[in-house]
Amino acid sequence: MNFKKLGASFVVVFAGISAQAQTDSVKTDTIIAERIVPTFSTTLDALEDENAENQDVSGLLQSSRDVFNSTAGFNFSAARYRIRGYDSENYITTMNGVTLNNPETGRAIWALWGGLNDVTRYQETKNGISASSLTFGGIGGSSNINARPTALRKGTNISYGLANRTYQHRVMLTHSTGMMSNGLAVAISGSGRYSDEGYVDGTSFSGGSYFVSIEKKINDKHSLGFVGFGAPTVQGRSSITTQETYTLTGNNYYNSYWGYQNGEKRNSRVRNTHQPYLMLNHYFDISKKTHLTSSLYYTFGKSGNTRLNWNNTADPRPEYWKNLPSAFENPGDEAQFAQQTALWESQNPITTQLDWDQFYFANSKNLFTLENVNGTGASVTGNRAKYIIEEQRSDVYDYGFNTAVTHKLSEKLLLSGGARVSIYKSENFKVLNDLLGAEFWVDTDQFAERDFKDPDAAQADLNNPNKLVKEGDRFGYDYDININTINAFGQVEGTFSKIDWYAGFSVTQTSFWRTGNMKNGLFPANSYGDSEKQNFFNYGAKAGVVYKLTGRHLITANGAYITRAPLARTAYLSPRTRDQVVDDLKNEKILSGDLNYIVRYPKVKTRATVFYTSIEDKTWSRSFYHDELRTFVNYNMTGVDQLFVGMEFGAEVNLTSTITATGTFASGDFTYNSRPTATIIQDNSTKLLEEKKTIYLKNYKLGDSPQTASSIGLRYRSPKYWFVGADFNYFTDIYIQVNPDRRSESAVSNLVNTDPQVQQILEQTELGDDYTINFYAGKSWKIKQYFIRINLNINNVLNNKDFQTGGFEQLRYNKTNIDKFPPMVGYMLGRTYFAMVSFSF
Amino acid sequence: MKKLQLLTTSLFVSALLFTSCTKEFDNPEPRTIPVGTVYTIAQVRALYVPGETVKITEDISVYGVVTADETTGNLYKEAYMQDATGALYLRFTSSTGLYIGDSIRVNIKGAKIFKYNQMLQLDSLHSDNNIVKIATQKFRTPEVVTIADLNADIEGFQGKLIQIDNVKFVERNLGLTYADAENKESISRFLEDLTLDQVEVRTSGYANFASDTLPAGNGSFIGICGQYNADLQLLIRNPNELTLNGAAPIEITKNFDDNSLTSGGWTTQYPIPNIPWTVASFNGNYYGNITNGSGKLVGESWLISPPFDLSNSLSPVLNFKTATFASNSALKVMISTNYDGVSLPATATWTDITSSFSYSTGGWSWTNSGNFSLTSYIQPNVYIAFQFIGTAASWDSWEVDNIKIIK
Repeated sequence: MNFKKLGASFVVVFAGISAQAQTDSVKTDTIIAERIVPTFSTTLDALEDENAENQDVSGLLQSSRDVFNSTAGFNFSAARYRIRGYDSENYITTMNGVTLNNPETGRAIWALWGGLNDVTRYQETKNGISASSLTFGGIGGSSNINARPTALRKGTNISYGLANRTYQHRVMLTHSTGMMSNGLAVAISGSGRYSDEGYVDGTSFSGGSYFVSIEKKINDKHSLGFVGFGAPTVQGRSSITTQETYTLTGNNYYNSYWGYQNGEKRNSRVRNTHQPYLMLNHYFDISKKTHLTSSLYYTFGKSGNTRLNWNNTADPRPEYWKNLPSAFENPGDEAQFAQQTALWESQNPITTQLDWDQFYFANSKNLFTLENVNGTGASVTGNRAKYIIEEQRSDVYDYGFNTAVTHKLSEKLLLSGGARVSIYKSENFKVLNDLLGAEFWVDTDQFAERDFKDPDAAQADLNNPNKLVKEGDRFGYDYDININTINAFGQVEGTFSKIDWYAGFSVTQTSFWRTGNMKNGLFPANSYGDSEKQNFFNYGAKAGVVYKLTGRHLITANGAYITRAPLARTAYLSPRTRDQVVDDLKNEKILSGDLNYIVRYPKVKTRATVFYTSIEDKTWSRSFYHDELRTFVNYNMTGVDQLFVGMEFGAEVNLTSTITATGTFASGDFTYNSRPTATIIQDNSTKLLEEKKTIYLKNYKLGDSPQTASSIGLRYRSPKYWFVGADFNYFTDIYIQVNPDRRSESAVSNLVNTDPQVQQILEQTELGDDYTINFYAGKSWKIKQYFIRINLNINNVLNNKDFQTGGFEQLRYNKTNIDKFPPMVGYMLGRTYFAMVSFSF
Repeated sequence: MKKLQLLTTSLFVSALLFTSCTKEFDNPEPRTIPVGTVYTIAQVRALYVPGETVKITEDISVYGVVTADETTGNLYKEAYMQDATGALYLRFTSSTGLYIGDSIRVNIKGAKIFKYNQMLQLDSLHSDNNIVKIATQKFRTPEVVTIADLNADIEGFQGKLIQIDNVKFVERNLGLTYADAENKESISRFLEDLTLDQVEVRTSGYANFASDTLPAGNGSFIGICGQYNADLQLLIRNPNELTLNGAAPIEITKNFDDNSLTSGGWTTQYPIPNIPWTVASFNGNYYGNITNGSGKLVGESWLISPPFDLSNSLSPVLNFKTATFASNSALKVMISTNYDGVSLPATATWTDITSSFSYSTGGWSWTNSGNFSLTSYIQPNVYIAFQFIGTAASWDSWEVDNIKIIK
């Protein structure tokens, strides 16, 4: 069955119903709000991680009032769906007007306030290019979390959630005093989330979160506020691997990151983050018509990811290709192939998982004499670690000032504007987390040691040669990224009887540079100290119009042209080792527009949208660990253009006073739209692997999101305060992310066009269509002044464990045997649930 | 308000408690590698069965010191170890983690012993499961040998750390690199000693010195002795150990090719005249010749070199070649440091060094004398002489050629 056609038929069906009309359903929005649950699957997590991305944007949209966006948030995000295909840097998240997007990655990292759902649900979300008095916004939209204590419902809310996803238990407590007679309002919220083991084997979660918001009304014109929040989180993560390991273990959630230590499951990849945010807000009502909001903020904290590292020994990771049966597919290796297959299929954890006991064993007897320790001339003999757990840290220090003013010029014209200054620094380094029983680690690069005769070349830090590393010491690399940003924007909004409109303008000055804290042995001249500053001037212009055909039929159009400074994170070729930036670093240019037809009857609400977005001159970078080179290889492309065109449709129809049907459909064509230029270098070599390489990427699909998704849902809402509903979601046009290098001349240079291998190398893999059914229900009671609510969500009710939601081709490949390094793929979690009971008073 | 403070405080405390309960793991029980039966390296080598792969199934420990490691990239997943009884070539399933000077115990259970192109190897070792390091920096001194020594017992020298003095890379290799770093290909180069014996030096294209130009000088080579089929194959541990940077030695050769007995300052002395030294030729090759003839003349004839100034030499050597019809002892080689160059030999002190050389044993086959080290004669006035004593008892003849002093 062609489900694209099925999806299209939704449009017809709902367009037919849309003539009907009845009362509105603000209540459905509350239901939607109740359904705010974390939908990040850990599989997704791993996938994102490989892309050096940290978070998905879907959380942003979950409280959206728009039926399409809310459906996409709840039902599509588990399939890694991204609205309009946009990356999350195109969404701006603010809190009390303070931008929360990280200047280095461009992204708002939702995990930093994870568990504060009672607070973050109070957000004003703007989808797409739109007017906002707080920020210029991005092409995907903007969202402001109102964290003023008075924004939280007065009273106390206590809830307990039980789930089988990332975490098992969640307790949450929120209390808001409301505005008290002394002019003070206080709100606090806190939660704890915990699981010994999550849905995926070997994963774990332990997170706390806190939030305090205090506001003091000084007089009728001035209020001062303080907000502080944070979410210390420790999470054992899951891997994404090739199909081979899933098939061998019979487990599509096979997780290679853990192993047994003394009979206990231990995960090698633990994320440990805690980045508190502090802000002071000043609300100044200059007049009835003019309001000024100003804020000072400071955020700081750590973000660490642990991983196993090893020296002078074989790659111990079970999923390393040489440890898999497929490494023995050559003629003559049949016996080993059979043996390795049997070992994997027997699910013996010694083979299929990490062997921690072995790491300790190896570390217990590896005597080594380190000479000239730390450059002092002394020598030390002891057990040198063969295996360690290291933590890759990226610690942020960011402070700044923010102000936004609105002025009502007339009943019909609203002016707004603002300015923002941000002084940002991230400290990027490795810390030795666990020596696994050994006495020390030596901070030299084993590969550079072997490659270069000059013993200095292998030194991570010439200022501290032959560094003997103990637990807690920084080593490997250590550099800061500094980003200073100054931004100002202005906006005018007009409201007329037939037409509403807005226009906005924004200017931004960005300056970033790298500060090296180590003098790398291979790059002594350009690794230590401050690099040259990279300066960019950017501007953006946006405008939109709403034409009211009638009060119930609206046509809206929005457009924007934005230039954006390249992200510091992608600008440096190998920031771990040197300050060299990619050649021809350019501003990104974004041209975007959408046209919407909106119908708003009390009984029927629909929106149909077509959109077009072109992003030009993106800088793209990815680091991957090369097993044989034993180092990170950095793959950088400049001149990456992307094109996003497509349509969205969403409809919500009240079939009866208790039954509501929803239908959504989105289909797009998200593609690369240029032939970028690639530079490839490795961290531990002065040699450029390749440069000025043309990549024939044009027209390949972006693999970050299914390109077509649709959903139909039915909801019953009883007058007796209970509701139940289900959604059927269908996804298609799911593509694997391509490896750019396979789309270059050199990839097919020793083949002729008629060779079948040419197609195998060039072709993009499309994954199968698939569907999910989600279910939810809830009931609430009011006993005296107590509200009791029970909610239940079940995702993937049919327990479909074969839904490949995406993947990526490994950057490493073998021209003559393209299947040697098959793509990494991830699966949607099977049936998961989240049940919550809450008391409010 | 108090309630609120309490609530706030408890909130912070509990939030931090939640994350402070991260898992702690106990160290696993210590594990050891059993010792089993202790073998010497010679005993391990003796486990080899020709033509077979012997798999070790018992706990057998062998002790030794690592003599070559992977540091320079010339070895890959390989190492060499040595004890008083011999050396072993070790092959691992991964990087070894071994360094030169590591004193190790290898439990060879699970390993395989076989020969690959005649080189005996202990294969399939696991760097964690088979190896225990006992101490570090127990460096072994290389055994000083000549190429001839090695050739005399290739099997016996397999895997041993050796040093050969007075060698240089052959003329045709000079200016070339150790190996092909670009294509990562191993390449063989050749060393030559003073007797013109040659030996192969093979270097991996992955070695970090592969692209270095071969040193052009003369000096000592240190490395591991290997075998490839019938031939020796030497392996460099680290080019820093090679001292092939000495000036090429000055060679003074008397080869008679100018058909002159006395050119170059050579003289003859006849304390009992009768038998003259002459120059003869055969197939175009000229040589010094002496015979007392079928008449079995009695006489004493000396062929004496010019004075050599060896005072600035480090390790001067003498060699030559001889031919005779049948084994005899009429020829003697003498050395003096106080001869005046003109008088009869008896006016000076001569030391008989005849027994330091090899000689032709008959059939007129040319025989290389081998090197005689002149390190005891680092003096300004050294004379070499060939003394022939004819007796009435036998008809003796000697041919002498390519008399070479290498300063």
